[in-house]
Amino acid sequence: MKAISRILALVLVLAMALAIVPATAEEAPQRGGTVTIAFPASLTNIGFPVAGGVQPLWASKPAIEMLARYDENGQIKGWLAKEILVDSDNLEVTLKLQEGVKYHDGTPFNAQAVCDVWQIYIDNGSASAYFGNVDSFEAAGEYEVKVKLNEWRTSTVGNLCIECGVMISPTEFKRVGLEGIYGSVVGTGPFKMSRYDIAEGIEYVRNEDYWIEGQPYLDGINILFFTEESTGENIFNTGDAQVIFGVSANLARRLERNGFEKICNNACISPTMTGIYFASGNQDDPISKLEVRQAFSYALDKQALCDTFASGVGFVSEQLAIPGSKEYNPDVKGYPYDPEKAKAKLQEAGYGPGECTITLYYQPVNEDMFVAVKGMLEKVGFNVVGDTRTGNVSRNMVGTTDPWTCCAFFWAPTTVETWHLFFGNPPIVYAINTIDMEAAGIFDCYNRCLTSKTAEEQKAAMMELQVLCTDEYCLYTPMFDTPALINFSDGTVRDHGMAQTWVCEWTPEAMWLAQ
Amino acid sequence: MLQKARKFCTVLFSRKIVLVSALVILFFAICAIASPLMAPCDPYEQDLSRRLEGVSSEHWLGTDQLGRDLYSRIVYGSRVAFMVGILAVIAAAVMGCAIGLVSGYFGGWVDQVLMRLMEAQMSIPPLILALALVAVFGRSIPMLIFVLGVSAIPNFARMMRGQVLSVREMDYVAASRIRGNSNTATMVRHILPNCISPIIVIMTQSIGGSILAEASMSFLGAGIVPPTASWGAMVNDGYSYIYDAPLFALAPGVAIILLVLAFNIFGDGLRDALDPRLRGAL
Amino acid sequence: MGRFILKRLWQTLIILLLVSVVAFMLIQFIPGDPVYVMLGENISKEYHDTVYESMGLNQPLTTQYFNWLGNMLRGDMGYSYHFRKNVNQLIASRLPVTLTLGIISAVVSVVLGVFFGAVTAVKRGTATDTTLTVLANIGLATPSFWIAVLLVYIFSVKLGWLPAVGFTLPWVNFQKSIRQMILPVICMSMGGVASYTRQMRSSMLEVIHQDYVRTARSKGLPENKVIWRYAVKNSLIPILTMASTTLRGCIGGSAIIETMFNIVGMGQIMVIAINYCDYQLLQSSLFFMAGITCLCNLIVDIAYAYADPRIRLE
Repeated sequence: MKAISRILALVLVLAMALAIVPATAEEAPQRGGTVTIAFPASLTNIGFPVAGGVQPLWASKPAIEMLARYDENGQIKGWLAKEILVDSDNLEVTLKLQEGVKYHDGTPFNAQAVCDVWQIYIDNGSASAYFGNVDSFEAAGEYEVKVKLNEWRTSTVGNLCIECGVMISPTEFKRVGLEGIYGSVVGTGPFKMSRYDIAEGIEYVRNEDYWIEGQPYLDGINILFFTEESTGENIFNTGDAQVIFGVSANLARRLERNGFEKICNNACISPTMTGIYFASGNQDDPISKLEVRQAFSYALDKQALCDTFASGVGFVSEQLAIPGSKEYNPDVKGYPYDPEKAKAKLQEAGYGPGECTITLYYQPVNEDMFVAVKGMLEKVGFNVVGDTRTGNVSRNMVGTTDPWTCCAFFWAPTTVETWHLFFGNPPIVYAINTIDMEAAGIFDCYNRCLTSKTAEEQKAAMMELQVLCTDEYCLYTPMFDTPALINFSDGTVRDHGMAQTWVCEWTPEAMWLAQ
Repeated sequence: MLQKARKFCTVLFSRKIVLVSALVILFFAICAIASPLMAPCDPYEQDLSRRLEGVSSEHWLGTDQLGRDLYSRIVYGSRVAFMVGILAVIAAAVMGCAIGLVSGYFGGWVDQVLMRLMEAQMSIPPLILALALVAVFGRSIPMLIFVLGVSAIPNFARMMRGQVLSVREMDYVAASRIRGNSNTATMVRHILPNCISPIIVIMTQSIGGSILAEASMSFLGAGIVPPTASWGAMVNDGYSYIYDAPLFALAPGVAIILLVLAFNIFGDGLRDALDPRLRGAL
Repeated sequence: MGRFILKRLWQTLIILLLVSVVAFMLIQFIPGDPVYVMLGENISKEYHDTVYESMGLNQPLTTQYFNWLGNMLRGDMGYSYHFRKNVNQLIASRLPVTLTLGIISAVVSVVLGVFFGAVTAVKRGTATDTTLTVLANIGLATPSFWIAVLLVYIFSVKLGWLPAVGFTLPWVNFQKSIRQMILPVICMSMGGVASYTRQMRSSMLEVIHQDYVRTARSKGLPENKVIWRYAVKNSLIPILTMASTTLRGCIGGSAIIETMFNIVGMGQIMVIAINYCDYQLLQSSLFFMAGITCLCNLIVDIAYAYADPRIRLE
């Protein structure tokens, strides 16, 4: 009797467990609903591929798709180009496209469209950065594109299918022109743009003709702009938005404490490196002296800066790479925090305490970081002057031949694919004229990173470059890495794909709202 | 004279609240003048490992976002508050009153020109004007005093002119002119004293106003250059941490309210004391 | 009276001309290449040059000024490169928002302020007077954004009674509009109520001791009538000069409140125009707002002249 009741009890427990399991298993996507995403900027351009940047690209994703996406392992996988065939020996890349895909304006997405879009990139300033090694490309069939290369570069597929793979409608581009395309988002995506107001936000509605059967699940996506982070926090806290995009470490801490779901992944490709670069066109300026740059680097307590400005999500790095990534060189010594060494280096350069005045450029939103860095530098004897002129102004100054010197903050991704920001011609992230980059062998080394055929060769070149730029010439002071974007959701949004593979990637077509 | 001053003080401080606000102003003034003595820590000394801390015996009001002592920064912040607040108002009052007095007294084309100029300035929203001026001239304390002073000129000019207009036709002004007094003498001796009380009310009100304006400018990113301690900027900084460290935003805000309040009440008291008709009534 | 109005109209024109020069010159001095500041650093040199030319920045200043003024007079306020929209369109969509908020706040300020001011003056020295005066002083001393943070924290985040952001025009959705407007209007009118209370109080106190009030009293008129008919009416004259200031403050000073409550109004676009060096937007919106303020001033002056006939004779 006892045994039977035991068995019965066991059966009962099992039955209950079985009853519970299906309820907690994978839920089926639900249809309908609109997701509102609070967005920390007033985007002045979306949709125009050349003017890129993470935020505009991210915000136009519901409407515009790319030739390829990244998978969980950081490898490029086909999307609008369902197959990407690479023949590095014969210098040829073949793309086989998805069939039956239509742009929102009704025109077909085919091989000719891909060629037209690439031509738009080339005509608008992307020729040297992304198509430097491309000889020609042509539509080899309705859904096949053939690309001929004159030189193999490791970044080729990424350049063609990701960086220049944002497939806007070439017909729309012809219609509205360069100026209009900034505000016109016409792609093949699961949603169509119905409204775009720079001060308010973007509204997307469901694309009934989307090429994946049964998707998207949502009726619409609203992107709501805000400029003060506290305002965004309120929008999110009061339930006026289900997702908040790109929050600061400070807000992230708070939202996490309040039990919101953090969407962020440190393995996500291209975290952002925060650092300071040196620019000097004037040989008499302190920044032109290697010892001064080194003293500067030694003076920064990077761990403290990281804890303060990226706490919980950042990690310190002394080079242009995340520890553990393929670009990371464990032999780089860097400039670990050492105020005494900093003082000594400054002395070595011929400056007593308070004699070395440098100008540090910062954006008003990063005032705190500026003040923290200024405090650290002044402790070892620097004299720091702040300047808040915008990056645009400073960049114009760097671009001119006038002697101009500064240290300025940079925020840039660290993967080898994005190093052209630092070493391209012209470099975007720092001034070319602090040292003679050609003579220092930096351009040559960077070129080898790009063109090497084997992973070993590329690795060797990358390791060499890290040592050159950090230990040898101290061209910049990296401080810490952060996943470029920390998003939060209230837990009702599923299958969003945000911050899983690549910083700009998410999956609006598969996203759904749990009621 | 001494007796007069004593009587004035007796009248002025007959209301306790005026005395209290005078003491508050005095306290902040001492903070501003003798900041190093009043502050326990260096307001610029940062310790990133001890940021946003709560109240402790070492940090009386806790620390800010860079681990600086909040209390010391509030003490040092009184310097900026006094400097910007008072100097901007004095600049505005001197320029504004001169314009208003001349304009109201002489009338005619002088009045026309000056008032049109004032109205042109007044018709531009003051905060926008100040922001644009800062965008042009850059951020610094003298610049801020200038910008806030300029923004407040028309207030004084118009108020002064309005007052002049209402007393200009009074018998004693006419009498002064008939007696052969010069225009300047008439203006200074007979019109100015009779217009002064609303100007004083506006002045004290404006000191608070310009402290608040400085805070607003900081809020929109056009105020004092960091790391200088300023209450406005501190409220702005603390605003980002209102959920983490409420004291950070509240404390400088309370300092602002206290000082502005003290100035306003003191101004009211001063006004009551200055008004000869009220003095009799007290 | 007709001549007075005509004269004021003429003066308004001159003011507007002065404003147009100020608005035009002001932005010329903001450092930085406007095209790069407006469009971001990633644009190509060719596009930069196209925009630079199409904005007419390569022409002499006087030509630019007269072109702009000419276009303004024809009703074309130019093109905002930052918003990628015609300024006319932008203002048409933003102005109702700011005006609604501004006018409601101004009315709340005046009505409550005058009422409280009159009460404090009449009850001078009593507990009511002390309480209201202290409250008014606190209200005047409190930064509006500080109050905004506090109110949002209490009423939106903690209690969930009122929305923290957004704005709807009353004729679109009345209930939603009222709910969204409560907090911003409180923040915007707080200073106004306080300052009217103070001004009204001091103005009333002055009037109460004037001869005609004494005469009215001595004639045996009921105290209520003396206060409201004589004292309040005559105390309103100095208040009138403040009315246009208030409206100006409510329209232009709303930038902070607009930012905090994510309300897209004129204040916000003017701040953006300064930050992004949006020449035509800033020039035209400054000029436009100045125009509205001048109109208000005109009305106030006419009212002033009506209230105090001596002014008319000037």
